[in-house]
Amino acid sequence: MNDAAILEVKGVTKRFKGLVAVNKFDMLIRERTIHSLIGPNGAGKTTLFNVISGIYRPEEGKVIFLGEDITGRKPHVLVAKGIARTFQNLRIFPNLTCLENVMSGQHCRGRCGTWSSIFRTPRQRAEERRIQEVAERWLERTGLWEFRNELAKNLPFGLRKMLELARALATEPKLLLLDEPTTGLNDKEKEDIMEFIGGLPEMGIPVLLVEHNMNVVMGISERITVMDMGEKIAEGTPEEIYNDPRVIEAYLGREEAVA
Amino acid sequence: MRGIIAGLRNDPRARRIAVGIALALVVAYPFFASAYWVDVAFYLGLYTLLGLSLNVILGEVGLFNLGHAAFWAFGAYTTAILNTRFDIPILALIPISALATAGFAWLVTSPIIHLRGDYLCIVTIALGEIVRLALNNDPGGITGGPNGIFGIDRPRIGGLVINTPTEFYFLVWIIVVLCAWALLRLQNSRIGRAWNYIREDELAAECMGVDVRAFKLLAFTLGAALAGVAGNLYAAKMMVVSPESFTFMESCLVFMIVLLGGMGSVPGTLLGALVVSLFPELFRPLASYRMLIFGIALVAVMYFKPAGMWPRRRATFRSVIGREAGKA
Repeated sequence: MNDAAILEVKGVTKRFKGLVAVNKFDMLIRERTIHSLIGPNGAGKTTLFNVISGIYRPEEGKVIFLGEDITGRKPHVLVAKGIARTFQNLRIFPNLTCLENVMSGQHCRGRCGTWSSIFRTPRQRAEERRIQEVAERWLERTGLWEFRNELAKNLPFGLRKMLELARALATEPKLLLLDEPTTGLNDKEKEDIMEFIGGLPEMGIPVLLVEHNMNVVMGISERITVMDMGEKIAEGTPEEIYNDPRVIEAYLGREEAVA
Repeated sequence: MRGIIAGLRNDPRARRIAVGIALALVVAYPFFASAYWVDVAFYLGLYTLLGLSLNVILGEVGLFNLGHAAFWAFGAYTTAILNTRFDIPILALIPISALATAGFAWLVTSPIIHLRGDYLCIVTIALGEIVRLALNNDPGGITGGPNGIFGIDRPRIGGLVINTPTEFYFLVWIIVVLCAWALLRLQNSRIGRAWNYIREDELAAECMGVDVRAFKLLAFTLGAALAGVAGNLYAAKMMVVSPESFTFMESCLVFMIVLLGGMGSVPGTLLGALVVSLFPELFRPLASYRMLIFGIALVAVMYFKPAGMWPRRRATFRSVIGREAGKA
């Protein structure tokens, strides 16, 4: 718990027309942890997620990443700085091979332009080789090695989820944002992917996990932030959250909480 | 036939031999064909070049550009004006036309590059029409209005004047082959992949670190540069340029070359250009039904082969971390 802060969200507010999707939100993510952000559907989790990854610009507040104010920076800039993400509704590149999909992660680590690519300069070839090597290592670690030359759209759903994860990891992130990685998976696949995610902090990759299903995150999270109606309603270790009456209320409603 | 194609796909040596035979045929063709058919092959080369240039924009990045004739016209007029007024040789104007057209494309597409799909399509149609009408209205007396510009010189290399159909044929096909080679290399590089990421899913590409705006602009400027080269060759061949050569119909034909052949496929573009430029030659009596038949062909291809007649096959990479890794 004494690890340094990776990401700090300070008083972030995001509105859509009249609707306040995220309201003066604070959160702190530390190194070598899995930090989960949970809350019922429509709580504003994905909106906050999109603010952190640069898709939305917040009306108020700041996002600080490794001591640097990154509020409102474009996503591709943030990826280069070390924030990678996946999508709730899976956005792989369907007509490209799995290897090409994962190689996209290394795009931001490359420098070579049009001319060096046409003339295949030694520097360009070395860079291509490195891009491919990193991609292959992640395909191997995620168990997708044998599918490397398959088109991504031909993979079964569970493996496509894994592919998206491999692609994000290939950016060599300093923080990985995962938006409901278990949505649509069966129990076995859920277990596999959560086990894989659980191993990431050991590789030096802290994770911010967004989920609406509380049971999924209880086992692997070190810290949990609970969100409802755009506001933070609780934060703590899984046990604290599990017994927090406000959380139970948010998830089950007042009546049930009393009963 | 299927066996041969499969063989070509899997064996790089067989593929190299096939490309060698194709190149040999291109070189030998004018020595067997009549002057008329050599001329037809010149225009085939020209449309292939236009197809390749639009393929960068439409095929690789998926940007619906229905105003490509604007870039072609810009290249042709740049060549025509600089040659007739300042006597700059045609061949020296090839890179100049390319650069000028690229600059023009950068200027006019920068403000519209964020538009998506149909919206971009509509704006590019307008762009094509604006350029054609501007040329027609003779701004500053430099474009010659509806009559265009006459008396463009022939390309000269030292003492050799490129004049006959055969000479023009070689000029255009040398450039086509060079461009195809360069574009194939770009396809399998960081640049080409970034373009494809954008085509597949723009938001995901941005979130994987691709500067979407920059790479879209790169595609537009590069595609326009090649169209500018095509414009130069066209001006040199015709010795006259006029606005009526650069109509919306031309943009449509080039668009169709890419769609029929296969988005993002270099050999597909060649095939598409073959269909589009040979059809009116082979079916003269049907000439007035050309657009109707092209329309039907387009619907048929989209229905039966949505990826085009010769779709791009994704490259398989030789592993760099070694085979034993697969067992892990």
